[in-house]
Amino acid sequence: MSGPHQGSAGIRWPSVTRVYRVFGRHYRDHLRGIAIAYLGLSLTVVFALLSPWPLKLILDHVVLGAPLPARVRFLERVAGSDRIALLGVLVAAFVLVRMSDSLAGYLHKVGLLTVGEKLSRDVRNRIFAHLQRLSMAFHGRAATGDLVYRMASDVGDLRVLMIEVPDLMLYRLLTLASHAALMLALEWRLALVSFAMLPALYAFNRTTGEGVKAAARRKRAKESDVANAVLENVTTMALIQAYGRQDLEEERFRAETRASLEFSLAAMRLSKVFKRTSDLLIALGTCAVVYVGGRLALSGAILPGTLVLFAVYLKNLYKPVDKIAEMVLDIASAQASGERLADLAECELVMEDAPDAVDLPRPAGRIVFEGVRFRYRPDTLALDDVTFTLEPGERVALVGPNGAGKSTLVALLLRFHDPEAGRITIDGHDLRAVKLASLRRHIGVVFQGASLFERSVRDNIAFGKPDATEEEIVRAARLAQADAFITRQPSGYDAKIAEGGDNLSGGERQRLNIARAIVRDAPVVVLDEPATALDPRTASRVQRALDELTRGRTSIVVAHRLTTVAGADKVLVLDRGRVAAFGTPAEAMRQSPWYRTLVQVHDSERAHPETCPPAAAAASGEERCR
Amino acid sequence: MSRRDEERLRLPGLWRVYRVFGRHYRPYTRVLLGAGLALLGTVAMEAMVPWPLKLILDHVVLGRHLPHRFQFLAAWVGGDRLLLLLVLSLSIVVVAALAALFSYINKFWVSGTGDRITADIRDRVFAHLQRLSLSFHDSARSGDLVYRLTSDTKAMKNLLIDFPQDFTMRVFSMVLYGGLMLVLDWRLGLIALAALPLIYLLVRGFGEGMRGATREARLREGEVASIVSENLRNIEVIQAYGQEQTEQRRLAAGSRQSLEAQLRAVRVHRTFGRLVDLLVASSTAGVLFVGGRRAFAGEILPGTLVLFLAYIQNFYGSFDKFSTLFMGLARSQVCGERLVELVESDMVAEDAPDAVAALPLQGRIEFRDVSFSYGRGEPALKNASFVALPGETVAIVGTSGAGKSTLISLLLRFYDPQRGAILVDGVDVRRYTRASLREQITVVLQSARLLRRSVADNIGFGRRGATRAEIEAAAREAEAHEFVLRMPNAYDAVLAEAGDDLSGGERQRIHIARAMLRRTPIVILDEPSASLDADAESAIRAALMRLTRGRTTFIIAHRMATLAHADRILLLEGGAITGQGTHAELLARSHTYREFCGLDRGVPPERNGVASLSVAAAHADGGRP
Repeated sequence: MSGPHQGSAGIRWPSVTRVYRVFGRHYRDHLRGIAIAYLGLSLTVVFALLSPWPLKLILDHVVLGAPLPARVRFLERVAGSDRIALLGVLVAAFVLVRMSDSLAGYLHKVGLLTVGEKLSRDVRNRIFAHLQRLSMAFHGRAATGDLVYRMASDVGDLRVLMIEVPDLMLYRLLTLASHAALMLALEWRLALVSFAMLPALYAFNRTTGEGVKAAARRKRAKESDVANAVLENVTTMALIQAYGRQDLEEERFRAETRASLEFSLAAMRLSKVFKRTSDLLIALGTCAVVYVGGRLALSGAILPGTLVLFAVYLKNLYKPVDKIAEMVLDIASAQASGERLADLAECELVMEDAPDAVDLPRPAGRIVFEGVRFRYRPDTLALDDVTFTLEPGERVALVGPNGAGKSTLVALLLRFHDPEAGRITIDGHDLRAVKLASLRRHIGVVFQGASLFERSVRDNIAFGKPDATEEEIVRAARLAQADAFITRQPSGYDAKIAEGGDNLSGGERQRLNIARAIVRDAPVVVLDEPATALDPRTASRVQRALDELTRGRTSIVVAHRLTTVAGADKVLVLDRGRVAAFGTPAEAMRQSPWYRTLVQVHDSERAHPETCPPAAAAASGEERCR
Repeated sequence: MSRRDEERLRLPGLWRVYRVFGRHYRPYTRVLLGAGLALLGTVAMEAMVPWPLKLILDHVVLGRHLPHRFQFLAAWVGGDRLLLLLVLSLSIVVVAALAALFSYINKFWVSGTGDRITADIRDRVFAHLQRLSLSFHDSARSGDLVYRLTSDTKAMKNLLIDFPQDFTMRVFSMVLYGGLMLVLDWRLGLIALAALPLIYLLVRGFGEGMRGATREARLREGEVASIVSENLRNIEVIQAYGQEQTEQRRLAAGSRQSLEAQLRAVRVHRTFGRLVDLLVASSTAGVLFVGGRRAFAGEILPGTLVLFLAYIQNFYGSFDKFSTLFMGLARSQVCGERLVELVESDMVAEDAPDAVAALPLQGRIEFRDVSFSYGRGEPALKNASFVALPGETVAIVGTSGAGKSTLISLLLRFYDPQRGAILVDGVDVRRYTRASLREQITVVLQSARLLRRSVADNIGFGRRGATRAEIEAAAREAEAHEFVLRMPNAYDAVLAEAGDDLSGGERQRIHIARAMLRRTPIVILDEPSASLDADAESAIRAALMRLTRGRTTFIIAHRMATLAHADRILLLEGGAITGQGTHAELLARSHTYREFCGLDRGVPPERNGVASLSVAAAHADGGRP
């Protein structure tokens, strides 16, 4: 077996058992379905044993006229001694066996597929529910595309592991055992000859099968190299075209595809040789059985029909052995998916409520940060000893250079993360002491990336308050300056938002987000001011909407414009995770040289634009605040 | 959504796919012909498989006389039944060996050719991608393109090779088995084939229902997937608004519908299967009954009955595969059509027929009343006019979406303006071939990723045939030499995906080193906007100074210092140039510019609004994206 970095390097039992341990409990809800499917399965095996018998009996006792043996003598009671009547009975028996087999197959397959579908649904729902609970510490790291892929593809693979593999295993085991037993009972000499090839087949499967698998693995690895090459190419296309390196890239890619081709040819060659060789082994087995059987029949030890019977059974006997290698491959490739899902299901980056957490009653909105410290990665503090107090109804502008910790501060207030030191309180309640749901119920949020859902405008606004009445929604839209453009659409509030809000302008999307926050009517509001360029009219509309949203509520606004700062009661200047200044705009000017320069230059540029010497501007632009 | 395309056979579409990609057969016609012959051999051998048993039964066990077509056997073994038994038993192995040989030859050639054709098509599509203009690449999603080049090209193997092969094999098998049965005993043969027309009627009756059920199931599945992806994209808002439960209920409802649709489809398909089974069983029963009587009456040999049963099974088994075959074809067709769309998309930037190669340029650049819009939308650039003299540094400022990148793209001729003209040294750029023009321009793009190759290859990408010495000299000038030497394997170190193992400042310097190699008269810079530590900043500033000295330089500026030192500043607003001049001039004249300068201190004006809260925070705080 190759190294652990290869995803599907054969079966690793600990990981398979882990998958069963994590997801095994989903079997419990479908025991009835599983029982039905397995009943069908067992019947299929029985009918497979029965199905060549009518032909054998017709051959021996109708065509050749041999007397019926004792165990099928009952047929004579039905048909009398008339051979044609016996033929009729046997043909009827043939149809009966065939149709019973067909129905048992139906029971088996439909039962199995039903259980499989239901199980997949259960697992998908469970994973999805778990994803809802996982904190932003998880979601901040995970790529959305990857998660969606996991849901779709891994759940399918898990089904292979949990439903299809056990079923196949049971089917093959039952087939092998029942055929072997019956063959032994019928004619033990011929049976032993039939089994002679089994060990050889199995050994061949084990040894050569490994090589085939290894080749398939190498082939897949090469395939993913090709995919990576394409990805890199299309994501750097501007550079490639600007530098005119298309031909170089083509050459590189051709080398990749040729390498991949070599591997897939090698894998194909091996697997064909493998398949044909095991066919030959089976033919050798059949040859021996037919020869020995022919001699036995010739000597009268067995009836000619028994030979036909054995020929059919032999095929059924060898088939499962042939498939064992395939099954191993299935398990190996499904186990990687199963493990990924198990990782996900067992990932415990969940914001749990404390056992004694209480519901946060509607707060007045006094927010206190006391010595709050937080880091995303061990070596850098994102927030360091942040302390400040907001009185109810106050509006604070959060300013600071990129990466100063503004977004982190907002995330902590929403309890997407818990601080590593210090505490955050609302009306004196530590955030960690109240139920998460009750905390977030009292905060209205507008994120910078306007997130809209592929639903109606109404549903998008009511997202802030699921039980909102029509009046509340319209009122919120009106306050958010969104009513006008909504009602301009033919279907008004029922108009469906396209994926990602693509059918709206940036300003419109933003105002819908604000309406969503307004309808929530929360005492605390947190918003990341849109930084995307809006034309002046739109900007002023959005500004009015923001004013409506923050009126009378404790508001934290991540400010990207000085005009926003101007309307604030307080200014909080953050730099590299520390509070550089906090107070009224005037106080903040006194405390933070950085902020002072910012405002002064801005003002002086307004007052006397020509006196802004390039040198001074350059200095202030490059100097970071200390 | 492209992946939800309906999977349904449409002959004109299929025909088009074969027309566009059919030529990939050509290099392999002889191999494919040989493979076809081997295929016929395989099927013929498979038809031989039940014969030894039949002959043993009739002529060894029951001791009937060999019919005259097998007289050669009798002549060979004499009258010895045991010898005949041995020969016939061994013939099982011979038949299997021949079948294995034919099948191996067939599979080897067919599969091998399929893989080769896949590789050829990949190369072709990839080459086409390189020629497609940036307008195409802007609107295409990279994941989608990867999917097309990996998955869709594999589906082409199915379309071009596997389907014709399987289809031929099935048809040939059915003709062979049907024909053999009719020849062996036409009465039994007719009974055996009697179920065929009935099954056909059944397919006609059930087909629409089955397809409908499958379509419905797929549709519902797609809905579930989109619920999941929408949810995960917006998980932040959902958690902030405490809507987790509601979302869960939404998914549960979607899942339930999807489940019901799946189960309906399963039941319809399986029920159809049972009815087919019934018809086949009836036909077989007919053969058994009539054949049994005839064998009893001595009109046929008992072994013939065994033979017929095997043939009936093979005959209907082949027939059964057709539905799967066509389902696979329909699925591949969707992929094939997507590829056709891609290779036939003519957003290829062609040079004018009389375009000439640009001679070494001075670097005087003039935009004359240039307008441009992407697609049918608002113009991204409106009546832009300006002149940059050789060696001048022109800073371009404006909020995102103001048209800065568009202006640069037009200069690089990623697009051509719809109105107006761009002149370099007084000549319209459209008179030059794109390649020769771009050879004289160097770009350092902010968004550019490093390539997953060695450091030397990454830098050497700048100029064809650059020597190692030149590469190192460029790295030295870009202040990159030292940290490159510190890396294990130095210049031969292969960079991880997108250069993740380097810091932001280091990545920048590799980009600059690459640009340094080119020594072109025109340089375009996207000024780094990410905050770097002071040392990295000053290193990069020094490197950039060296890069731009004496060259006509366009800088998308984010920094005051840059603006202050620029010879000329272009202020862009909503696609129009609303101010032009030096820093001092613009401060005096333009309110927007003053506003812009004021903001510049706080937050870079260019910031993508889509970065999610915590991701953005984590990136910013960690220093490296």
